[in-house]
Amino acid sequence: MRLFKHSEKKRTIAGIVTVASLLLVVDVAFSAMAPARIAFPLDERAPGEFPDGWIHGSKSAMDNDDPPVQVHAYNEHTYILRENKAINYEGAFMYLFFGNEVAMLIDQGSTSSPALFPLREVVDELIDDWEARNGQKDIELIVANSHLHGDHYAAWNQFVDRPNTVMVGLTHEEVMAFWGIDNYPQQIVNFDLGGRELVVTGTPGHEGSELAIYDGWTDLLYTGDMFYRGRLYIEDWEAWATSIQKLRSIADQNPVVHLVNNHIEMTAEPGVDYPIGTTWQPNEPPMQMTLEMLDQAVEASFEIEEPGIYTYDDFLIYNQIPWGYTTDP
Amino acid sequence: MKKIYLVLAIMLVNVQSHAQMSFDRETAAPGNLRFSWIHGSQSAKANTDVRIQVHRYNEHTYILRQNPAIHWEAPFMYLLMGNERALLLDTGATEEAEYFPLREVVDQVITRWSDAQGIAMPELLVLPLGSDQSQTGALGQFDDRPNTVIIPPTQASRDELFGAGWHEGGQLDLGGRVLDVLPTPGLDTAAMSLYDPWAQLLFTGNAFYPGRLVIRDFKDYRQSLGALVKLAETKPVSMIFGGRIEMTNQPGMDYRLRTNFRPNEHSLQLSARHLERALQAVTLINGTTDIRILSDFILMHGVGRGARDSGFPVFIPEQFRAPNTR
Repeated sequence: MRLFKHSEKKRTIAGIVTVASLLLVVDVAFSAMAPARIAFPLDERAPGEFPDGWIHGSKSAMDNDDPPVQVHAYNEHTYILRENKAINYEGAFMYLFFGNEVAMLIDQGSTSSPALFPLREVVDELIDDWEARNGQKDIELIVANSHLHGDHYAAWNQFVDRPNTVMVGLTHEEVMAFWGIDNYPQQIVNFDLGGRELVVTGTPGHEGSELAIYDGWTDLLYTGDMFYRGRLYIEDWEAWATSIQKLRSIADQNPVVHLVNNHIEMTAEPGVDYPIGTTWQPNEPPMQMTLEMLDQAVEASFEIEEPGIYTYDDFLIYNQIPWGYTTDP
Repeated sequence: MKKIYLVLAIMLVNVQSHAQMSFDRETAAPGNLRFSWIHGSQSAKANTDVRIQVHRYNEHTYILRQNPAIHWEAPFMYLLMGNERALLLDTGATEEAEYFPLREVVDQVITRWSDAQGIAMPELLVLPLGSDQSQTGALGQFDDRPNTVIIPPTQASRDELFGAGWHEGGQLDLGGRVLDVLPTPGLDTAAMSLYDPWAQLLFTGNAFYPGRLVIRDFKDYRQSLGALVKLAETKPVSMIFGGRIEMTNQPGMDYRLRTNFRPNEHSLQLSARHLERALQAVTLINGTTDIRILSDFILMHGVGRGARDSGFPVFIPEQFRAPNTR
C-alpha cells in the first residue's frame, strides 16, 4: 500500500514503472516458489489448544474493555471466535476453518452492526494473515451457518459485498443445496474444504435446519446449538433424540477429541447455569465438551419422555420449554 | 466596584430572607416529566450515556436513574429536599463507585441545591424502600459520609427513625416537608412506601411499579394495596413513582429479565387508578397460582420472576407472549 502512495506523490512515470516492475518481480517470485499444497491427513490428529478462559463480559458492561471479538487460534488452520458478552449476552462462538484456497466461516454472531461488532474486519484480517503465512492469495470465503437462528447469523450482512465470497444462504433450501444434502436430516455427506475433509449431517431438534460438522483432520466434532454447556432448548424432542444418537454413532465411527459448540451458559458449578441474559460470567467452565457428556445426553435421550427441565452436571435439557422462560425465583 | 458590593449585599439579604422554605400549598407542587429516561443501548459496551441520569422534577425533588448498561435492573432513586434534611430513596443496583458513583452524584445535587437555595447543607437520610438488591446496591458508599443517617431496610432502624408504631401511621419531617410513611410488604417483607403531600407524590419503590409484581406473601400484598388505595382516596395523589420500569409501551408486554436495551419503555409514573386496578386483580387472584396481565403491570403469584415471559407454567394468551428472537 505504501509503495502506491509513494509513487502517487512523485507522480513520475519512472516511479510508476519502478513499482510495476517491482510488482512483477514479486509476482514471478511467488509463482516460482508456489507453496506446497497443505496436507490435512486424516490418520493423524492435528493438535490444537483451547484458551485458559474466554472473554466473559464484565460486571459493568459499559466499562468492558475486552475486544468485540475474541480470536483464538486452535491451531494454524482452525480459529475459534467469541462475541463479547458486553455487546450481546449470547456470547456466541464462531468458527473459521481453513483449507487450500478456501476458508469457511461458520456462524456470524448476534449483532449486525459492523460499528458495534466488526466481524468482517476481524475475519478479513485473519484471512490476510493466513494467506501471507501460507503463501496463498485471494482464497475464497464460504459464509455458512450451523443453524438458522438470529443469534448466529446477525452479522451475515457484513459479508454480502465481500469479493470472492460464497454466501451459503439463510433458508433451509439454500443451505441443503450448498452442502449437497438431498435427504435431510438422515444423509451424511463428505465436504471437501480445499483438501480438508469434513463430514456433515443434519441434527435437528433445537432448530429444523441444524447441521453438525466433523473435521477429520483435527478430530473436532462441532455440535452447534444442539449440544453445548447450557440450556439445550429443544423444540422437537424426537428429532433431538435421534440427532444426539446420530452424533454418538459418528463418534463411534470416527475418532473425536473434543466436542465444540456455540455457547457457554453453565457455571463451573455442576448443574448450575447463568440465567438467560447474563452479561458477566466470571466462573465459566471450558467450552469444549467430552464424549462422556455426549454419552450422558444419549442416555437422557432414551429416558426423558415428558416436556420439562432436566438438570445434568454439564448441561440442562429444556425439553419444549418456551424460549425465554427463566427459573429466576 | 461599589456596584458589585451593592449587588452582593442585596443577594445576601435575599438569601437571608429565603432561608426557610414553606412547603404549604393548596395544590400539588408542579413538576416536569417532559423528557426521556436513558434506556441502555443495543451494545452495552458502546454505551455513552451518563452513569446516573439526574432529573429535576421540581426544585426540591430529583429523580435519578441508573444506566442499564451498568446494571440491567436500571432502578430509579429519588432525592427529596427539605429545610433540614435531604432524603435519598433507594441506592441503585451496583456497589462499586467506579461504575456507579451514586454518592458523588448525590453530593453534587445537594451542594448545588444548597448553594441555589442559600440553605446550609442538609443532613442526608439514606432510606432504601425495600431489601431488594436493586434498592440497596450502593448503600455502602454512604458509610463514611459525614452528616448522614443510613436507615437499612430493617424493622429496628426504621422504628428508630419514624418512632415505634409507625406501622399505624408514621411521619418523617425533612424540615417543613412532612412525609407520611407506611409499610407495604407483600412482594418484599421489608417494603415501605412514602407520601409527599407537598408535591402530592406517592413513592412506592418496588412494591408497586410498571413491571412484574411477583407476590411472595398474598395476604400482606392485598393488605398493602388496600392501604395504598385508601391513602389515595383520602389524600390527593398526582403521581405514583416506583423503583423500576419493566413494561414496554405496548399494553401487557414486558421486557424480559436482564434486558439492558429498552428503547420503548412504559412511563415511570402510574396513577391512583392503577392502584385500584391492581387491588381488583389481586382480589381475583385470591391466593391461587396465577399471572394476571394488565396493560401497565403484571401481577404474578405462586411463580418466579422469569415465569411470565412465555406463559409457562401458567397459560398466557398468544398476544402477550414475548416473540422468540433466537
